[in-house]
Amino acid sequence: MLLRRKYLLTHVLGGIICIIGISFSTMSDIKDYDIEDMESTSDIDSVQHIKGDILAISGAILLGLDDVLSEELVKENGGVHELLFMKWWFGVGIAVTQLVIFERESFISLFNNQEGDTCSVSTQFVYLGLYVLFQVMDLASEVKFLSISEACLLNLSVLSSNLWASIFTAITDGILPAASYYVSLILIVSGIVIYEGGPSPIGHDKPTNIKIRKDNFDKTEHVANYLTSKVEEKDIELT
Amino acid sequence: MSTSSTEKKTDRRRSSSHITRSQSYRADVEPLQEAINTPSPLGSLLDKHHSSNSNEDGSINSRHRLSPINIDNSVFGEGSIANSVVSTIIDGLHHSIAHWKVLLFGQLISFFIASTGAMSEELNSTCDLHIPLTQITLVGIVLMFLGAVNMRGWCSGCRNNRIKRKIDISEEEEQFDCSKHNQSNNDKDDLSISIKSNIVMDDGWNREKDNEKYDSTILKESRRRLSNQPRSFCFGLQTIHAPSWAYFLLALIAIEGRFFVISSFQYTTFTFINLVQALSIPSAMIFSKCY
Repeated sequence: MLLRRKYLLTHVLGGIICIIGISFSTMSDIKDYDIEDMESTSDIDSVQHIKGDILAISGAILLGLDDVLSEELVKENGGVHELLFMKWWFGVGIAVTQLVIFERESFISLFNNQEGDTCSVSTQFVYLGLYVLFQVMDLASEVKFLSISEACLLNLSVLSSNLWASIFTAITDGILPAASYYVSLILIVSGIVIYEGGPSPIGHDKPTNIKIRKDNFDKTEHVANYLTSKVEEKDIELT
Repeated sequence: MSTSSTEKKTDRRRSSSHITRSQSYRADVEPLQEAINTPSPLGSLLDKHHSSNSNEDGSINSRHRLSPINIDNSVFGEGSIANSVVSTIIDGLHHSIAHWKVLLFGQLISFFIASTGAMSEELNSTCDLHIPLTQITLVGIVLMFLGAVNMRGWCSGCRNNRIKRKIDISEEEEQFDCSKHNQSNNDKDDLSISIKSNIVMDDGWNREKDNEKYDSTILKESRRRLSNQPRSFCFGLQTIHAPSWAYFLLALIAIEGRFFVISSFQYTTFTFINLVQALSIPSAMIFSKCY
């Protein structure tokens, strides 16, 4: 089921440098806000803490597997639209089941505006609508990305989302990024460049021949077949 | 006499017009073919760089193969670590410039993720609303409709496909009887042809090993393609190209992965979660590698 990719030392090195970059960015943020976070979670016993760690690690591994399986299905089977439909057909079913079990009360509170609430119902819906819009664009773009590239490069590219968040903070709150931001940016970009330094794991033999697939058909092949058939048709007709 | 001469003239005109028309069609097609084969100016420049060190025998493979760019050996020394590091970085820069569209697309996705995070943060902190599963459900519904709208062949799919497949199979069987091993588009017939081709090619030549290799590759490819066979989904409402359980498994992994990460916020620190998110890279690499 899974792909058979060949990763070289350059790919691994690029990945490690990217991870160091994001670690650097995260660690430098501890000074600003995470001490409060740690204090607030200090009352949680160690068993719960371990449970949280295991959940976070499992989630990250599952999301990596999700990207790989999506890549396999989008490239070898149904294509972008089929994947989106089928994945979220079942996904909605699973999510609704969990919603009914774990999140029923919170869901009802979405429609009730109680006294002391900082947001009105309309504001909540505006935020929710924007969230859905951006998330839909994100997930649809990710599937499209997987159809033309590969899961590992997607995960490397996605690492820079924290840096985008820093830019948002700079614009909205007027807080300029610290020096660690630039170090992190340089490390992530260097990691991607080094990753790209190795031969492509999906086997591009030259930089210009990235095959763009559309609905399980190779566009280049399709155009070539079309042209060939057109020439043959004309020859048959006219000679 | 006069009539025959006029007929000949008209024939000549016809034939000449045929030639010019066919030539004109070819002239129409050639630029298109050239356009397909010609890379972009930047791409061709990079290809030249890459092919400058490869063999100059003129073959397509040798010209288009990526090869490491030689760094001046007098500076770094032949085969030194510095040489290989610098050549890797230069190769990486070239590849990054060549793949700029893909990398830019990745940054667009990052931008969407950051925007999603900002909106989620507003909902959580400003409005004090924690509804991760509701958010996932709403996103899922929109994506499902997006996929459904763009999918073709609703309600007609399966029945037509079944009939088409039967016709294809019978046509392929007829072709095989005539010993015409044209490459088939039908997956099942690819398999049968590859098995039977072994018998046809076994004519006393010492080609057994080659045949085995050839057939094993084709069989493997055919098996892989067999998994792409159209399948009926939801009582023929739509045709899909992978088993339903595969999509269910994928959905389960995607939803649970996100749910685990969101749930972990209650028990552990934000820093740890943010760091652990980077684990998806080695995870993707390992899962992509194993087969």
